[in-house]
Amino acid sequence: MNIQRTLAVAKRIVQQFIHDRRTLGLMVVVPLLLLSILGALFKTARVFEVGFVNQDNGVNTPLGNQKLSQKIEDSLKNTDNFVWQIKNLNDAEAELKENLLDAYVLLDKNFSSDLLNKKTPAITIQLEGSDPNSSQQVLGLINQKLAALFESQKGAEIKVYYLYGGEKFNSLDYFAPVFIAFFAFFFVFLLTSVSFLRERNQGTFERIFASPVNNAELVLGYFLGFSLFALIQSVIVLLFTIYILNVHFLGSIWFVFLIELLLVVGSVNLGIFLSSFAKNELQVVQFIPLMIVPQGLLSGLIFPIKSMPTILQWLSWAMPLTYANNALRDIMIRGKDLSSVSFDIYILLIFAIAMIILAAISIRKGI
Amino acid sequence: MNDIIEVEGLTKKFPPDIYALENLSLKIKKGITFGFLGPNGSGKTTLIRILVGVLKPDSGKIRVISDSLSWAERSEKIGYMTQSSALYQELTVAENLDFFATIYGVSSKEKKKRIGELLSLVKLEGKERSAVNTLSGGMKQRLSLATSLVHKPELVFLDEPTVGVDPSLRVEFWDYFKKLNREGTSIVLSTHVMDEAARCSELALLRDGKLLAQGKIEGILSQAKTKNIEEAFLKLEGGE
Repeated sequence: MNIQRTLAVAKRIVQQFIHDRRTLGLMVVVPLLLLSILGALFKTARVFEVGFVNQDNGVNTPLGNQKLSQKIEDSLKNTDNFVWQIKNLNDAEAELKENLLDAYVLLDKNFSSDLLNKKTPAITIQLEGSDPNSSQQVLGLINQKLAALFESQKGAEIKVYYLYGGEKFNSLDYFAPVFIAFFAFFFVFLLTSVSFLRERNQGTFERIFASPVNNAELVLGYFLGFSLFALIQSVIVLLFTIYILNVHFLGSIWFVFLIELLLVVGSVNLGIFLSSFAKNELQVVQFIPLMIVPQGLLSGLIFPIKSMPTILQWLSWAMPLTYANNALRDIMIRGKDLSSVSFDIYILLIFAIAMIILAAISIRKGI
Repeated sequence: MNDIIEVEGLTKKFPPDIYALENLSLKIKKGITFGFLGPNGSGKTTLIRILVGVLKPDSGKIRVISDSLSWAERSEKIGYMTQSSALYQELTVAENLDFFATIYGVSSKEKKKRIGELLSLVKLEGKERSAVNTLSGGMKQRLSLATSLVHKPELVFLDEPTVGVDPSLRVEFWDYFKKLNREGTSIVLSTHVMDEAARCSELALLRDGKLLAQGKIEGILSQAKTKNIEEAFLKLEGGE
């Protein structure tokens, strides 16, 4: 191994990047743009407007007619993403049809008498229902609100504790750590595979292979060159998420870089390996739906692995990004140290070594 | 040992069953310009690729410079200019030269001087900072030649080196090749141009992966009983 030759390859990668400013810009701008959009999406919670229709006839007592539902009606509280509107039934139905309401809650005429007679009172929840996703969300929120209202009537106290995160944490805090890894993985894979393919097609590889540079020096040079840009990208993205998007960050930044470094080694070599199967740049792009999109969908990036069908869970455990995501969430959200994520690190290490071997085997293919 | 290259019984087949080279044997002396002459598909490039080590033969023995050298040691003594100008298109002229000089172990001190000399030889002075993708085809070819010579190799392989180079510069290239020969550098080149072949010290005439004749031009002309190399090639090719 000649370090001078290795560094010459790395320097050349860096020079190529510096000359190709558009790619360099995209590598930084695209993650920031996507994270900004995600940030805006996650931080802007949808406001649900829910009608409250009280048809309770009340019960007659020596003190006159008493409506037990009135206390509930009086204690309805609006929140940032939930607005109650007291309506009569006709208005509530009309507004639901016009999509002015997302749902309404109906307390029927026997509500008070049922409660007094220790029967379960009938509460109807009418949903607009055209968007199943929104329906699930509003239903969840209504149930939560009603439970709180009934509890408060009984004087019960509900205490909420968070093992990790807290009330100030939002969805972006959960997604930001894994997107940092995803962007590094994706860009490094794409750029390595295209660069290697260009080298094959331009004939520069032929000259490299006739030179004293050996496979190890070439792969290491590529890794060093690309890692530099992957790390610069990660630093910028990380600083952006912490200081601009105000993402909460509990763990060590060096642990984050270590995880990313392992992922980048794997990604560089995966790019080298797969580039040997492509004849042109269009074919390299076709590897994205095969190698990148499934990892985006199945690695726990957006959808929790636990809630996936068993067969997809198996697939997700076969993907390196799953382990990087686990480790990064443990470090950034849960504030854990390296020993707590050692299993994920070992798997990423195995992935990196396996990719290095495959890259070394395939590097001279087609020359 | 007076020969810098020795090839014996060399065979290379490409799928499905095409013989690029068939049982080829030849010797190339040190310090001369040796030409592989033949039409497209005759096996010239395949032979060069095997000799520089990027392609493995199916059978046969090869000795390039010395058997006692390691792969890296031998590679450091060899210069290789491919048929297409294999350069890094986004990099500048100087960056390409610097990269090839570094991987061949040229010291930083010597690099600057050497790059200056070569830029002068290939008439690219003033273009140091130009990106390769802004150069003309001929300029790229000249730069490609310069990158193959940047480490002062003992043996240079040039695959069709003067394609796209204008006639006056071509003459200068040949004068430089002769100068390199005088300094002890051996040059092996391929060409399909007869008048270029005539400038070589010795030739190997190739057709369909087979060696038709090898030696000094006078010897080949005498063997074929013709007055010029073109007629000799046609005669030997026809097996007359």
